[in-house]
Amino acid sequence: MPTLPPELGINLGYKCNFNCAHCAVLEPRGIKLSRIEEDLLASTISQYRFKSVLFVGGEPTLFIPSANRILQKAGDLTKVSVRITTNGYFADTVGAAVRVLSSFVKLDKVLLSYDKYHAKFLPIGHIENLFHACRKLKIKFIVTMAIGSPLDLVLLKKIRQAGRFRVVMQKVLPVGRARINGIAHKYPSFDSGVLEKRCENSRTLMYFCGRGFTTCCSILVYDRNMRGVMHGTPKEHIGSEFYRLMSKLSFRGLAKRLGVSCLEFSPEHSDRCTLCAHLFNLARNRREIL
Amino acid sequence: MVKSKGRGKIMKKTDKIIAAFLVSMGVYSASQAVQYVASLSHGEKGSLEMVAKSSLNGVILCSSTVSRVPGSDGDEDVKRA
Repeated sequence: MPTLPPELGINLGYKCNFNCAHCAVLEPRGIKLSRIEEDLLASTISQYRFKSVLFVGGEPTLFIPSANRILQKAGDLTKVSVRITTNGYFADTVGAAVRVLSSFVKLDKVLLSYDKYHAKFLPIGHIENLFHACRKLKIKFIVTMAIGSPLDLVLLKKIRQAGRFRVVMQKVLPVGRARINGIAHKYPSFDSGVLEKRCENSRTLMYFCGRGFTTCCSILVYDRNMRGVMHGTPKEHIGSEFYRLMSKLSFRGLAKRLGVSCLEFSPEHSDRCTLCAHLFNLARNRREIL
Repeated sequence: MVKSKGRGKIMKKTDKIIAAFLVSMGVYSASQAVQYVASLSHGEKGSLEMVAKSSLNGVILCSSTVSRVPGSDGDEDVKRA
């Protein structure tokens, strides 16, 4: 039996107080973890030795009681790094940010999503407030910045003025609202080098509320017609054909395994997730589903 | 003025700086970066050149994933953004 990835990502619910044009989520915002799911996740954390647990949403700070119930039932967390990816709406002042962050029973790292899409909802001053709140609480602070075009990198200069912290960039994928709005990151040509790469998320086990455990963090999850991707327990997932494919094979190997080799690719397939979804869609269309 | 390798086209120093920056940030492969830079207006090149020349210590390579999903943060043994 393969070993579990070192990180567990938990989607607490889809409620969010922003309405970003690039958001991957199109799910109904009322969906959140049930108490049964919370218990399952708590026992998963206590049973397996994850190095980190990451809470995402929606906006995870809208689900703090749920996150705390999971953490409190999970047992000893001294060797587990707890993180959140937040939109930072609550950081009107340093004090307000401290109050929200310190309401988690354990929190070691904050990833703030900020880019030109979030900038429509979040004043730039909130970055500085959140940064200082994290310093006060000895919590690591990182900004994640989604780019739809290299020209979006110009915003980096403004972000860096808020303080000295890491900025992690991510390309906007053609999924959810980004797909509808046609704002996914664009490539001028196909880069065949992507075929030799593997899934970037294979070191994270994700749990999506109301759905289950999976390795995929986006495109395949939100494709309701994709079968064999989600599983009810971590054990079922790591024993699945999907996990074996994603954790071991390059995309060239995946194409071969799915029987969809000898393909022509478009520029957008330079992105791993887009390529992966393309391969699985082709396989599905050829009735070669997992 | 130097020829870009393998393409026989002349690249200006500014174009090279921007292309190298985009490759180093993981935004594009080398050939994609050259193609992209060729499509930019003078003003756009100026904006990107300024970013490329500014200090970007602590900026981590691009990942494919949108910001509302999990990701690494550049330390420990994590994989991406």
